[in-house]
Amino acid sequence: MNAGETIISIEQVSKRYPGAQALAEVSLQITTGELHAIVGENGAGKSTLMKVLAGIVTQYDGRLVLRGQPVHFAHTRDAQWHGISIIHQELNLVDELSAAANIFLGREVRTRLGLLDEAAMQRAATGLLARLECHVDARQKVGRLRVGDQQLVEIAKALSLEAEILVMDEPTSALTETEVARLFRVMDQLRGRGVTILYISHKMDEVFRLADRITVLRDGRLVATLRRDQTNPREVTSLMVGRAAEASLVRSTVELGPVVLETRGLSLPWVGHPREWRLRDISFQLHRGEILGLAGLMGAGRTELLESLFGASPQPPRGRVYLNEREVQFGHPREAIAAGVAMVSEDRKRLGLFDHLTVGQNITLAKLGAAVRGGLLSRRREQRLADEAIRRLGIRTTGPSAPITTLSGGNQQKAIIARWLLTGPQVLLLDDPTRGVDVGAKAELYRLIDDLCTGGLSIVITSSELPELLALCDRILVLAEGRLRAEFSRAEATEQRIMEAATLGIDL
Amino acid sequence: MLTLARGAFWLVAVVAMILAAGCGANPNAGSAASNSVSGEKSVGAANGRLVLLMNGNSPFWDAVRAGMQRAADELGVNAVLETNDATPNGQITSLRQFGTQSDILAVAISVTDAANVAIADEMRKLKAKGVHVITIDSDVDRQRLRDARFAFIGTDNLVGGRELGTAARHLRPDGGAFVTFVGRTGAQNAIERVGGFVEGAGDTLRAIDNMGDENDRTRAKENVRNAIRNHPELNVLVGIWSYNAPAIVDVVRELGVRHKFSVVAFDAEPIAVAQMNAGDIDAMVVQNPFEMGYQGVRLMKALVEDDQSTIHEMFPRHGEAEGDVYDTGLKVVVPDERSTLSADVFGPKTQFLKLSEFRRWLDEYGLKGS
Amino acid sequence: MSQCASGASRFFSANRAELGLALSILVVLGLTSVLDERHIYWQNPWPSFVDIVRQSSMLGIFALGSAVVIIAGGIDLSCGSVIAFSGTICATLLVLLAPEEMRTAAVLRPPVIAAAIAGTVLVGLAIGSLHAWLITVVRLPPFVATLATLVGLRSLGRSIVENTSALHLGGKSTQIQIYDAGFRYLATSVWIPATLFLVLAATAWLLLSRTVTGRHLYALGGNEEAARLSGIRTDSLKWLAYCVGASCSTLAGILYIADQSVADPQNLGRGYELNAIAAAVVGGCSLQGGVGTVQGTVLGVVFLRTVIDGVAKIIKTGADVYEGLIVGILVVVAVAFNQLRQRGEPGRSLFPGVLGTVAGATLAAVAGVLAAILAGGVAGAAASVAALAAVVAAKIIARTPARTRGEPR
Repeated sequence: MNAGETIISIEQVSKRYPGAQALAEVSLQITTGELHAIVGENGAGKSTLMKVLAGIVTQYDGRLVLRGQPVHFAHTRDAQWHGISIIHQELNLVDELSAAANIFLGREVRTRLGLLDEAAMQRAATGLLARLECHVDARQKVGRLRVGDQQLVEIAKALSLEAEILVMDEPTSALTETEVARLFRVMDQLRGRGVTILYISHKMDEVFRLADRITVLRDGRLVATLRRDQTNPREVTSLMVGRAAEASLVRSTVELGPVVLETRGLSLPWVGHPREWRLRDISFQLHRGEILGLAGLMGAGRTELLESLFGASPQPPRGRVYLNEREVQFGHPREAIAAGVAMVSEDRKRLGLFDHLTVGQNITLAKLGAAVRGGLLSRRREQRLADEAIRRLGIRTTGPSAPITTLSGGNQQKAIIARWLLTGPQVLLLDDPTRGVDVGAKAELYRLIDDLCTGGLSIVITSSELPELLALCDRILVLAEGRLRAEFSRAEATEQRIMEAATLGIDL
Repeated sequence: MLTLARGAFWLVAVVAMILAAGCGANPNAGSAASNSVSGEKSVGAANGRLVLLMNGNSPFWDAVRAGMQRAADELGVNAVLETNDATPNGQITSLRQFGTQSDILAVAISVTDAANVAIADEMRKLKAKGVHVITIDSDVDRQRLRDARFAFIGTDNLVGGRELGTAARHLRPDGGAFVTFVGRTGAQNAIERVGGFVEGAGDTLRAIDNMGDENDRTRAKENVRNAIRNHPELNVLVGIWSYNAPAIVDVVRELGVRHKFSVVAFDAEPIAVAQMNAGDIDAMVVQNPFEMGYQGVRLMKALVEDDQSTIHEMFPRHGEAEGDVYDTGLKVVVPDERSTLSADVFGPKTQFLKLSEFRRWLDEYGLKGS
Repeated sequence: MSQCASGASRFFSANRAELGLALSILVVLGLTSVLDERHIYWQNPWPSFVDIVRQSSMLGIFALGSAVVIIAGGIDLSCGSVIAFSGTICATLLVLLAPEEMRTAAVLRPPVIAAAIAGTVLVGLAIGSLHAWLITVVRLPPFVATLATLVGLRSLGRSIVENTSALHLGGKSTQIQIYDAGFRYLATSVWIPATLFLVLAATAWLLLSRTVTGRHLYALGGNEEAARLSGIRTDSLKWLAYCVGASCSTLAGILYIADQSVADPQNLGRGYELNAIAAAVVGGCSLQGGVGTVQGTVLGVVFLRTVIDGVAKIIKTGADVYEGLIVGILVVVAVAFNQLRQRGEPGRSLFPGVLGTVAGATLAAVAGVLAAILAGGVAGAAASVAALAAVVAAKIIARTPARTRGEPR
């Protein structure tokens, strides 16, 4: 295939799921060697389209023409054999296997006797990961790695297939800035070798840095395909949402109240690890009405800190925690909730959602007592609570009795936040709440967070997107390797400074 | 360092398991713990164990145990009753276990399946090791596998079945139809008893079904209900294993149809005795499990000690045809009043008893059932 | 954003699975009345009704317990052994409290019976607590923990019976007989088990669908970690669930020994746990946890018993030979139907690829063998051919793309 020719032609592809039309007659030509960005809100059909290309979705209408030949993939191996490889947004790893095993899953390297050649696979895996500048042990069980490292393993897996067409579904959603930069360097390498890349994202800065052409999907249909140099982020965003994009958030000025949460010397031991401490000697204060940001690389301890404050850490933390000047010690999330602390955990699919319950049931779960009348759950009261929450947070759903699985990522996240708001907390801990949430919903979440603080709530929020933290937070704490390295006020904080503090003392 | 610790753990675990298996948990020994002298094979029977291996689990075996205990006390030997799940595999496993234990001197087995060559082979292997093997209650196939044991003590289930069939025939002189209820339809004693019953019942009574319940008493009752519902011409209900009789009586009482059916049964469970007293059972063919246990221990002791006089007394014609069978006798028990059966319709060797006489006999031996 | 048009329509769509099951029960009853040569259901329905009610109640009592455990995300393999053990304990308590009466078959006084039952229930709670301890503190998988009691309790029961009978009943025995008609009335009267079952079902329904604890149980079963992070005391809930399971099996055990008039720890309740799990699963419980209802389980119980009764009525002699096969097939069909309804991928082939061909051929062979046994060699061959043709047709249909089949897209 020469550059400039069409390598894949997607012709009138449609896919229907029960209750939803995921794709409606999408037609698109991809040129060899280009980096083609696919953008759209969650639910627009980007992931489904990529799954069709990668052989994950095998029943659909329409056809694919690859290098001039019509193809139909019966499964992913088929697609891989044709040179198409996909890096998933929802990580597709086997927790109990090592990184090397995951990378070579389905294509294991064998010795001449036909047995598994562990050594060769480990060597190859270490090499691949090194190219991504990831230094985890290839023998480490993937389930124990943090989300960012897991994603790098995924990427290594796809890269090892040396595909001609690489589909990347929001690969940077859990990576930090430095790792993103590294990924882009690797992608540049691949492009130099003529690999065609399909890049799904809703981060405009990435899209406009990388893409040659941009395709916008909305509600399963193709809205437009534009050349990057002929458009701008505002236009693209408005095509995605079908309306003018929100102006960037301006944080309301807020009077900071008294100290509501304070830690002194908070530490969390790490059994069996050379570093010995997940968190070491963390001391900070949180004021009423404040939004405090936690920045740091993967493994710096942000989630662990939130878990320790919520009573959900695997061991009880050392040091002291004060809530409203009284010392507290939480052994179980139940105690934290009772005291007025709530946490929205990362990875909502694994830790937040109850797949078999409805939207309303997910929302009321942490405060069912409010719906009790005469010892029994009152359907009507529960419905009222749920309706109220849906209205207040603007959750887009057919109603409280809809299954939670029918909601888009952003609305699911709102439902979980609604659950915690119902418990009437004073302190709300948010662990990467906008991950996997589309632009429109993100803006709504920002506004919600701002409103909550104006109303007297205090928030601690982590995120890997520095611009997000910079826009939202009054202060930003920077963690590195379990220690508190720096603190910046809103005025002082810049991406540069935060990055420096986060990488201080670590060699990369 | 981690792998070394893990390896050491597994090594210790494996060694521990081997040790535990070797110390062989002996399945459910009946009475006193064995006081074996390790390694030595003693001359006196008192220094080892005489084992009775039964083929199931019912009050019948309690009577065997009582007889065994009486003999053991009188003769000063150590006898135990071993249980298993009444399947051929269970018996094979038990026999193999016995082979590994040096203090077992003799084994009396009630074979669950007469034609099963594997069981007979295990018995022969025991014989080769010097362990004396006899059968009680249920024998091996006498035509092909006779050599696997020295002698048989018990009753002929075929004869028993015939007597019960005869009883049924006389209870229903105008004929009718019957269903037999049993635990496992494939068990040897079941096959023989049912076969004998059909013979004894003759032409006037028709066989409708042979229903098995796999030792589940609730199922046994279900079978009776289904039989009564499905077959309106049914008028004789036959219990083949000991717990089938109470199951039949329960259902008949529950449905209030006592007048429609003649109820005949094998073995006399304690509750069946009470039920016959209440007029719910018309005839029972009872073996003498007490005697089986008693004589079984006697014979085993005699074999171990090579006591020829006792052996000769029990089996005067051993070596001749059927000389190796010790008949412990059959009884037919009928209610005291209103029974139309009389002694003359039954075989000469069968003892005909009224219920009150039977109960006196039970009391004499301190038994609840037989 | 629309609410459903009417309450009735909402009721139907929310309870589709249960209504389908109820319909299946009616279909089975209908088939039985038609295929039964004597049309017993028509001629004399009351005794059959009583039978099915009795059997369903006995099975239902401990199936409810299993369902609660399954909904909470666990599994209880020890049902049958708990039934045997609790029956043993009840009989043993009767002996200890009234040795003379038990030995001489005299009448037992009601306080004695009540005390024995109370003691047995306490033992049941202890067993449930033991399970919970093994699972939440020692961190054994539920499968392993209940497997241990499956094996161990029967053995313990046997030794208890032997010792008790040796000490108090005048001779060692493997069973304890129960003669007292009053105690046995607990099971011989149909209305006592039936009422107990209904009361338990109502209580369970109330607990699961109308209380906070019930909602927490569903959450625990659906996503344990998320439940813990939502402030739910997962360990306490598991304790509750396993105690409920063991208590239900205990009550069933008491009823079973009353029914059988003997406590026989070796044989009582063998394999019953599978019946309970089958009933729960047919009724819509998912073994992953978090899914299932009391009404579904009740219907599942009734369905199973109706099928078994139907088989006994239609195949009058030798019915037990086929019972297992038919029940097995129906469980597979019922659960597959549930799953298809939940996932709902139309057009997915049931016999894809090489595996599908092998499975299809196996099923065709089984159909042929069955037909041959029941109706002779010719029928057998015909059935095999017909089944194979059906499999091939299914494969062909699945392969043609939907558009060609004229389905709307």
